[in-house]
Amino acid sequence: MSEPLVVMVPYQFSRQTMYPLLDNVIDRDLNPKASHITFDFNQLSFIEPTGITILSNLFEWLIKRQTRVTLSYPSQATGRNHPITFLDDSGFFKRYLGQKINPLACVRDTTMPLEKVTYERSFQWLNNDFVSWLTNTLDMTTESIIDFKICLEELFNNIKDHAKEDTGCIFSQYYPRNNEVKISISDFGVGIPHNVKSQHPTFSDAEALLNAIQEGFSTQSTPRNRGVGLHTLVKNVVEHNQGCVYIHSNNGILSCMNVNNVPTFIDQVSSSFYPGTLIEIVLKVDNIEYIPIEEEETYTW
Amino acid sequence: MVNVNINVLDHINQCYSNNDGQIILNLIKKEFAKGNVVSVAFKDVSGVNSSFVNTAFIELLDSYDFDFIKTHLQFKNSNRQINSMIKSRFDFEVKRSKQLVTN
Repeated sequence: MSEPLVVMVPYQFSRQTMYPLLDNVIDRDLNPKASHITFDFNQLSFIEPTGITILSNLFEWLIKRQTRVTLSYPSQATGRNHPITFLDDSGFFKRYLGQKINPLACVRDTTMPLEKVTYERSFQWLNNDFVSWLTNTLDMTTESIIDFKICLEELFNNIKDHAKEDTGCIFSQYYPRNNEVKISISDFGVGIPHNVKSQHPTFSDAEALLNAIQEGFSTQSTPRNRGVGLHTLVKNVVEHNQGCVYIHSNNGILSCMNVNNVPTFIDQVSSSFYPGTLIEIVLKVDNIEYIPIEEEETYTW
Repeated sequence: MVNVNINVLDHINQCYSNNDGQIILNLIKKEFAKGNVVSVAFKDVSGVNSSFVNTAFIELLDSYDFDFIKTHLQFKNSNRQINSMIKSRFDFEVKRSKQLVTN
């Protein structure tokens, strides 16, 4: 049997630093570079929550293509701040090694465990696990965070309708010091630009993402698609919450943020390829309005 | 003309997908065909996404004009999020169809 391709997980791993790793793993024809790849975590000193989602998504993409994935990690990772401890606590090693590295590893109060959520299970997962975690962590009512739950519903419906996959990898963390919540979700489907460019072949991948967040822009991947899901996400998070949304898909990157109360969008083309779609959502907890147990509101046309 | 009540969770487990919306759409259309007014009730529903709303309600615009829908469709037991999603979806789609006509 041939030797595995060994790739180093970078010193700091986040959506900004992921591309060299992706280049080491995915060839120009968008296939895995080897049938057996070992990910070496020995240099890793810091990993963002989105980094965990990216690794999970990449592993799923490789496994789906019959690539054997193995892991190499430092044998003595001690301390709560060590990234291996953080990965272990997130459930990452349990999922991809079949067991925790440290038997005492457990999910932290500030994080949700890494989950691979199928569309079929997504409604229950969002309704029970996600809402419970977010309301308990922020000491908020369901009514206060309903807009963000709906955003994730939109993303799962998008995965089902467009990604040609039915599974999303998701990981979330609360940062008490900044009073922010980061939610990272990724699918390993065909990617948003792939769908957009089937109808608009002259668009760059970045232009495809910029158009995909406009209300009513639809790729008609399904006849019922009306191009609202990503628009709803950006409206609720960037306009209303003054948070941020970052989308990486195929060779496109779109950063959506609120600058001086003006929603601002920066689209970039990456020379590297992201297999599927990665979305990082940053919520500003200070801007979430506390809504008491809700009273009904009369609908008027 | 009678006012018919459709409580969504009596017919679907959740307001989540196009398929969930399709079941509600069929019920509404059946009553509209009889000339009835329909009150859609969202008892115990915390929120709705665009996939559900698009299929359950926006697709009515393919068969009925907006004035007819406004006089024959009502919503009950709803909340801020549900109302906002339904209203913004109708506003956008009605505006878009008017633009298509004028262009």
